[in-house]
Parts: sequence; C-alpha cells; structure tokens
Amino acid sequence: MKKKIRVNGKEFEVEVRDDKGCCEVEVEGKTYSIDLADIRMEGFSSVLINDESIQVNCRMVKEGDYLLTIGHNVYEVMFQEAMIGTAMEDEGAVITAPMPGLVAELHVALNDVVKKGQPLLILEAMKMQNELNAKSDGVVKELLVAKGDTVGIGQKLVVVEAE
Amino acid sequence: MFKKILIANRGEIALRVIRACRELGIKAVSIFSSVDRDSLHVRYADEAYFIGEAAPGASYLNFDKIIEVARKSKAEAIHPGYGFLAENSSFAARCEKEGIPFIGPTAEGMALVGDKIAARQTVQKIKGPLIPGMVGASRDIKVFEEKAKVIGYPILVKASMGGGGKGMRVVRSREELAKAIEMGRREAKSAFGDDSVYIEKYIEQPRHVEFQILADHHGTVIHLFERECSIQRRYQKIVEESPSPALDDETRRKMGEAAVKIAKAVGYRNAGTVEFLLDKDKNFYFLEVNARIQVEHPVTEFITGKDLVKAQIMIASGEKLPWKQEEITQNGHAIEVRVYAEDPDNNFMPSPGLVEYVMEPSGTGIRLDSGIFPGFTIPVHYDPIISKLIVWAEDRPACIERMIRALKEYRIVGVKTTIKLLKQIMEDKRFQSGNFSTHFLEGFSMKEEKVDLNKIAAIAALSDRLVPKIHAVEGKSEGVTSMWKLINRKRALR
Repeated sequence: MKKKIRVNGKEFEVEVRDDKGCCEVEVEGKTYSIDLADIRMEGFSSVLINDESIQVNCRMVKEGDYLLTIGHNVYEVMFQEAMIGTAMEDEGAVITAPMPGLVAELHVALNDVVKKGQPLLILEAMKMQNELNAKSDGVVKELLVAKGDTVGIGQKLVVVEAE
Repeated sequence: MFKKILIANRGEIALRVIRACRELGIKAVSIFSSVDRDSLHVRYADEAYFIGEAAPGASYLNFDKIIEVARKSKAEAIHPGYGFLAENSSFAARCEKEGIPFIGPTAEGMALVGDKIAARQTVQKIKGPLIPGMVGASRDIKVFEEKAKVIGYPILVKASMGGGGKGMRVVRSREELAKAIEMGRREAKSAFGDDSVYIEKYIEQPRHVEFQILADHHGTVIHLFERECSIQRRYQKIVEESPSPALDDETRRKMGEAAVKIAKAVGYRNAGTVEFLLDKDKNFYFLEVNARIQVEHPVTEFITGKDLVKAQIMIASGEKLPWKQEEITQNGHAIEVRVYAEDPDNNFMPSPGLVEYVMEPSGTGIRLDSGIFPGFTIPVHYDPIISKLIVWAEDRPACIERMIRALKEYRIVGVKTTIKLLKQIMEDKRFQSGNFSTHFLEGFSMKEEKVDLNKIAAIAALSDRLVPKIHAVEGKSEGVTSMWKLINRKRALR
C-alpha cells in the first residue's frame, strides 16, 4: 500500500513490500532493498540499504511521528495519520525560551516597537548570558515574563506582532 | 603520599581525578549537589556525600560544607579540578588553615596569579611581555573610560578571577563600555563569586598559545611545552592541540623560558599554565597564569607521556618532581575537541536535558574523557561541557584524519551537541593549513551536508520497526493507542 510520509517537511510517496526477513521500499519510483538487524547497539539499529551499512536511531515522538538520527543529522519523520492538524504556527511572532533559565534582563516593555535582531531579553543559563532577539520587525504585543523569573524550556516569553 | 582525597568538583574532570587517585592507590571522595545524585562522579568514587542544592553557591562553592565533608570522610587533601573553587585563593587559604592540603598552588601564589591584575603587576616587575592595559581593578566607570581612551579601542573587559571567557567582552567604542562592564560583572559574580573586572588592549588576529608548567615545593620548575588554543567561541576554547603549528623552534624555546621565568617570579607551585597571545609577527604577550589543571591538559599528556594529575597529587604531597626539563620531549601530535551540550545550528543555545543514547569512539590513539551516559540528564546549573575527545597520531595531518574518524563514530542522541561543528572544523582547509587566529570561528558557517533524502525516506518508511520496543511500550507512547503496544507484544512473542 502506498502511503505519504514527510521527512524534514518534504513529502514522499513510499510503499513497503515485505519479503521473508528482508523488505523492499519504493520511494518515488526507486526501489531500495533494506535489511534490519534484530538488536540495537546503544539505541542504534544496523540498517543495510542496497548493501550500504548505516546505523540509525529512531525515537517515537507520538504515534506516526518519529525522530531519526543518521550520522550526526536528525530527521523529523511524519506519517500521513499524524499530519492532520499540524499547521505551522507563525514562528516569527512568538519568542519562547530555548532552554530553562533565569530572565536576567528585560530590554523591552509592552507596546514597544522593535526591529528584527533587537535584543528583547537576556536569559541566564549554564553560566552564560544569552541574548534573545526579535525574529522580525513589529510591536511587543504580549510580555509574559518579568525580570528575575525562572522559565522552562519552550515557555512563551514575548509575542512580537507585525504592525 | 595521601591515602584519601576529596574531589571538590563534578563531571568529566572529577572522573579524571578519581582515575589518577585509583592508579596511585588513593581512595576518592566525591561530593554532589541535589541534581547530581545520578552523575558519574558519584558512581566512580569510593565515597560520596551530598552537600547541598543545585546552585553552585550552595554546593560546589560552599566552603563550609566541603571542609565538613573532608573532615567527616577523613580526606587528607582536596583536589578542586577546574572551575568552581580551583582558582579561589580564599578557599585555598581556608584549606591551609584547616590543615588539609589543597592540590594546587599555595593560597598566596594563587592570590598573586589567580588575580589577573596582581599577575600583570608581577610580570611588569620582571619586564615580561605585557599587553597594555589596567594594572589594577576599579569600580569607577570613569577610571575605565579614561584608561580605555589612553590605550585606544578596541579594548577587552576581563574578570579578575576569570577563566574560560566568563565575564569577558570586547568593546569597540565608548558607548558600549558601561554595558559591557556591567554584563562582565554579572557573569563574573555568578561564575566566580567575585565581580572585579579590568580592561586591556585588544590584540587583532592573535593566536592563543599557552605553556604547561609543573613546579614542586623543592624549587624545580619545568614546562611541558605548548598548547595551541586559538579555536575559540565566545572566548571559550573548543579545539586545542600540541605542538602549535605556528611556532618555530626558536619562538618555542623563548616562550618556554619566559613561562618558567614568570612561574618562578610569582613563586608558583603545582600544575599551572602560562597563557600568551601570539601576534602575526610571532611577538608574544603574557596573558595570564591559570592556577589549575586545564580542561585541555590531556593534549600535553599525550605528547609528553606524563600524567599531569598524578604529578599534581605527588607535588601536593611534598614529593620532588621526578623529571628534568631536558627529559621532557614532544612526541607526535595531539588534538582535543570539547563537546558541549549546545546547538551549533541555533546560535549555540545550551541544550541541557536527557541523553538518550551514546555511541563512543574508540580504537588507536583515542582518549575520551566523558561525564555522561545514556539515561543521564545534563543539568542546567553547570557548564554545558559533555566530554573531551583527545586524539594522538604521529603528525598533524594524521591526527586530523583520526579526529574526523573518531567524530564520525561519536553519536549522542537526545541533546544537541557541537560534534557536527567540530567535524567540520577538522575538515576545514584553513584549519588544516594551520594558518588561523582566535577569530577562526567568526567567519565560519556550518555547511549543509549533502544527503540523499530519497534514501532517508526509504529508511523512514520503516520507522515503526526501528523504534526500540522499550520506548513504544514504557516510554513516550504512554497514553497513545494500544495498537503500538499490541504490535510490539506480537513481536516480543516471535
């Protein structure tokens, strides 16, 4: 059965055909013969794809949504069933904490006009002062933290809206 | 020789010291904060004691608690590692007062060199090579402004107690000065518990070359040659090597002699490092003395064959240095890379969190000093260093090739790391030529690696078969439809 998958946002049509112990995967008309080893070493599976030996780590984020680590690259894999309702948010507008830390300084106030790249606040983590900058020109519409606040990873800090 | 040593540190350096203790038949005592119960330095130690909350001030910088544990465990000496209390002369003085040897320089010697201003004053006295700058700290912004005007911008703001770039800021104009000093003070305060800063002339396109020193308590001072540490990011060294590709024999000899002379002038004891800046014309300037074992010490251990941590312990116990200067030689080439829990694709944002899997490199000429394991959570409270990968080979080109090979083997899943960046540095033509400065990384951008996405998609189509069962059954799929559990149970029965 043909199905659609997305790898790092790019869509592919794939078909998996099982043979005894081995399988064939067709991608966009090209066929790959793939053999998977039974056991994993430090989380990595041994994959032989058209006889090329590759080590792959696969983690499930949620059903139909995986992270593949091959070499030093990480690929986000999404199967058709997981794609529904994953419309992209407007990333430019929301500044979130890239790591847990302490809001050491706040450089902007509500309704301030900011330019792309302008420092919004300083997040102190791992002994470093990390400047978080505006990703686009706009106005500070929401200010969700105060100086001295401890924030968690992914926490919304500032919302900058285009005028 | 001591029978038991307390290691007042955590992470890979605590392990490094524990290993030296083992080889010397010394029992090792670890201390740990509330977030480090699962850390390797607790497992590797003979004894381990809880000393306080995660914030360094409550734990790894807490004099009273550390002394209390030393007493309770009957430790005969304290090894501070690097960072934390390693260059805190008040702590060294406290140890001396308590009659517990501090494995490092004397409190007095450390006060002299650990305080970079005092060190500059001493080097000035013996007419050593100095960069123009302030010879005393100040709290008055006017003093900074006037001095900056005299020596001319760009200038560098540095923490008196600093190391590893913490508290350091380049200032290119008067307008930036006050802010840079304030930020420098903040970082210095949180990293070293002391907020004094000073300024000096900023040398353009310099190389950072340092000399390893060993000094015993019987008057012997030797150097163990140089380490080239020009590959830095935010003044944090990330690649170090020896020999330096920039030095000829004559410059090397002169710098080695200057390093020993400076160490003698300040009455230095134990292992230390004399740092120099080397300009394009091979003039060198004294930068500072690092009164500690350095992160990059394994590079020197590889090329000289000497164990520096063992030497530190032997010196502290009063033994004589067993090596003469002429017995120390440089053999082959060694490179160290520092692996940080940081995202090189996203402005090096720290990436603490759960390390899910680790595949470590091994084989000929490889040494890995690591502080992590699968299942370990890298805490947000401390340095983001994960490990150091050190490689030895007969010459520089072979060493670079071997490092590339080792970095390809090295895989860490769960947190973002600098491994990919380090590999690209090794593959860079300019790095390979040996002709670079401390600004190397400023003009460096990560290359997109060419991948055949169709092939990746073919593997991705089998994701459900690749995902480890433990994840699907017990891990992240909790609360997800039982279909996955069923499939895996079926497989488990097969």
